[in-house]
Amino acid sequence: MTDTLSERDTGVLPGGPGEGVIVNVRDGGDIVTQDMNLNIGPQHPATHGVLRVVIDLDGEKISRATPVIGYMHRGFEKLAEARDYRQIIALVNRHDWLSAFNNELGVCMSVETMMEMEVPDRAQWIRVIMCEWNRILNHLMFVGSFGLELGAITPLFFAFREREDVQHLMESATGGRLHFAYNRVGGVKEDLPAGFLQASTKMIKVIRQGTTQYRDLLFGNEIFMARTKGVGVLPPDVAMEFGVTGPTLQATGVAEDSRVSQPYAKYGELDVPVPVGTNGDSYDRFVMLLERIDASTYIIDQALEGITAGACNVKLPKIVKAPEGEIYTRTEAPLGQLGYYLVSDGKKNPWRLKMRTPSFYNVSMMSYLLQDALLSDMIAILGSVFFVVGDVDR
Amino acid sequence: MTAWSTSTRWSTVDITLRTRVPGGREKPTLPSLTSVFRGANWSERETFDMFGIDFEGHPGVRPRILTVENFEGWPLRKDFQLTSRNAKPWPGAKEPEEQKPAGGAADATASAGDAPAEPQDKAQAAKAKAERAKAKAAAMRAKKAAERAEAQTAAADGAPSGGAIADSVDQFGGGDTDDEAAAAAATAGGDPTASTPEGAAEVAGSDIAKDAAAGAAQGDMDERAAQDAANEDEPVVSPDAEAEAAQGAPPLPSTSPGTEAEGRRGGAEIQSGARDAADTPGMTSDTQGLGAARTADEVPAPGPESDRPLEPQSGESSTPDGGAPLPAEDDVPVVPAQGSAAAPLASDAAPEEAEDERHGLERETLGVEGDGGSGQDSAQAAEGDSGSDQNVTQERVAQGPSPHPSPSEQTDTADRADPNRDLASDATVEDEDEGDRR
Repeated sequence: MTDTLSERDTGVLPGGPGEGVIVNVRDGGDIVTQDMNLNIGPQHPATHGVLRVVIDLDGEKISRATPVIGYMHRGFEKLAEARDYRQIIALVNRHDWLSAFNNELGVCMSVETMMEMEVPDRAQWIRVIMCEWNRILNHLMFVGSFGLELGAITPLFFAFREREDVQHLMESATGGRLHFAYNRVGGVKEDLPAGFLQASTKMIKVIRQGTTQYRDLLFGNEIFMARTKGVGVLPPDVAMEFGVTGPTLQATGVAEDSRVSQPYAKYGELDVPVPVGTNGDSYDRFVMLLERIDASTYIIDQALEGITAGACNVKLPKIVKAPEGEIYTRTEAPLGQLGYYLVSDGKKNPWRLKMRTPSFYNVSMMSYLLQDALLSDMIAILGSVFFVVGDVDR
Repeated sequence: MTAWSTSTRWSTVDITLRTRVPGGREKPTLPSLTSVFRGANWSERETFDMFGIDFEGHPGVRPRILTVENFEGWPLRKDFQLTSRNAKPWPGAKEPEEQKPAGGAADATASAGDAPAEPQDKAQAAKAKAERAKAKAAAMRAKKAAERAEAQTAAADGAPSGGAIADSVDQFGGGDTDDEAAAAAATAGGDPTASTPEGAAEVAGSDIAKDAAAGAAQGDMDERAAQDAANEDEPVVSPDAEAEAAQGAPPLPSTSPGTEAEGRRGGAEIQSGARDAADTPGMTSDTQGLGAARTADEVPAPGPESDRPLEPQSGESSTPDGGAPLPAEDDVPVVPAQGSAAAPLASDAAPEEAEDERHGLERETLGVEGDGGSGQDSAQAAEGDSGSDQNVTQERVAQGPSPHPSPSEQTDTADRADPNRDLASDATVEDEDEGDRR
């Protein structure tokens, strides 16, 4: 029997990305095994969207994992070349749809910097407040979904209850719950509605109670701790090599935050706490979420105290044209460093708008992270590396 | 568990490196950085996918990372045209008033150029606009009177109505109100049929002038009038937004009513014409082949209340070339669909003649531009094609299926692939796989 199998070609099994995959044939003496090639996704409730992961399984252990992306590629960069700077704002809302405000902000900032435009103070404060609320929205989403993937359903409902309230708040100012289209080149679209600042203050208390609640729910739970502690450890140098940023990087111990290293809006005047983890495992990444939510409420508090009166935007020419040149603007999106490389040829459309999206690089290191992990840990790892598929594929 | 790092922060510097890729556009190749940064793997795969630049030493740039595996072409190269853009240029590339001239497939990145100069005197311009609107309204009323007289004498046929619309389009040049059309309308305008419509026109005209000058858009009609004003050779920003902009707010992007709104107006123009015909005593024949189904109740609202995308039908009903009369069968299936799909406007169909006439006035005013505007869109889509079927198919497919498909033939063929179509030159298929085909 052994002879027959060793003579047999190891075979080209379908399932690898685009081509056949030669699986490992292990001769264990009296038993010969082959790795099983398992295709997870692109439609899968736990893969956070249309992400496909092709894994080779040696029993329960993943011997190789390959994320396959592109199922949501919408050609944002090509579309951006055909849109002027007003229309691009509505377009870039949509690649990381959980952090829409930050996306708009990045684009507006790149144009403003190229035009050397002075954004009014009040607009900058409003941008800070909105960015942080958007960050809280984003992190609450992942807090809820992470618990859900591990089997805990209650945190999802609690997180989404808070999300609803924050979305209501954002809607009162911007008109949108998910896609805000509130930024403009030179400021924000219009001033905050009356009562927004008081409502923000109240909402901060609610969020702080919420994070306490999630900690109580999850950190005392034995199953949660067993499934996340020590699972999916990412060393900091590997993380930096892959270009991972955001809470995933901070969990490894690297305190890199674009709000601090290259301040924009009013972050230079604020105290921005940067939490860091110790192990870089799934548990630490999850804790980063809660810590960053608390940090965001702290930043919003400071902004509410510091906000000044004044104009919220700048009178623009009828057609906004960025002068010739190029610029790379980066912001700290909730998922990591979001950069826009804008090349302008002086027209009202960009010549090239490259979006350096955080999720693209967070997912690229998935093949490293899933190496030698157990299949049952794969869900915990996938859920703990925060990404949005629209951000990955654009 | 976690630490708050406040002192040991990384300060980062962004470095931009630029290089010329050896090998030119035919065979661009760069050495890979994956041996230095593992994260360059996916970045280089994306660069290969989008630009076709090969990387030496890369573990494997294929399979293509973002596009489909069997995709042909390099999408982000400037000479790569999207197939759907070959059929019709992206409508959002031009400002609303720039879409009026029936240009060919415009370059999507063509700059709009500088906007026309601001009117020196906004009130003066607003007054001129109001006068033009009044003249147009008077002309439309004259047209309606002529139509009614014609309908009374002619047999029930779809042709006169189509002819009436075609005539109106012909007369007004198939475009939005420009000076020639307004002048033509003024000269062609006869006496108003009743004193009340003129009174209504006065009220309407003064409303437009007053509000436009004051810089506040109040009410539905004024908003539409402002949109009409914006559609003329005016700067991008409507006077209302200009006034706001003076206070520091950025000028709002002019809310282009788009082809859909124009279609509504166009459709509404037909409805109002039919309604007027029905109101005339002794009128028993079907002016537009509508039959007893048409009552005053079924006249749709032209404004934002009506959310039916009537543009395709009105695009068919108005002439693509802005002059030739339509074949009769185009009107009959189209209009009842509009009528049946129209939201009942019971409140506005009040027996009060003044109110009717004012609403009629609105629709008539807007109807002219609607015909012209949607005619222009059909003209744009019609370029380089043979036969109106193909026009409509292209236009419809490019715009996507109507949520309320009418039973017209054009819709049916648009939704189904025509077995006789030439696949090689089928530009209607929004198939991004055919990347390099022009």
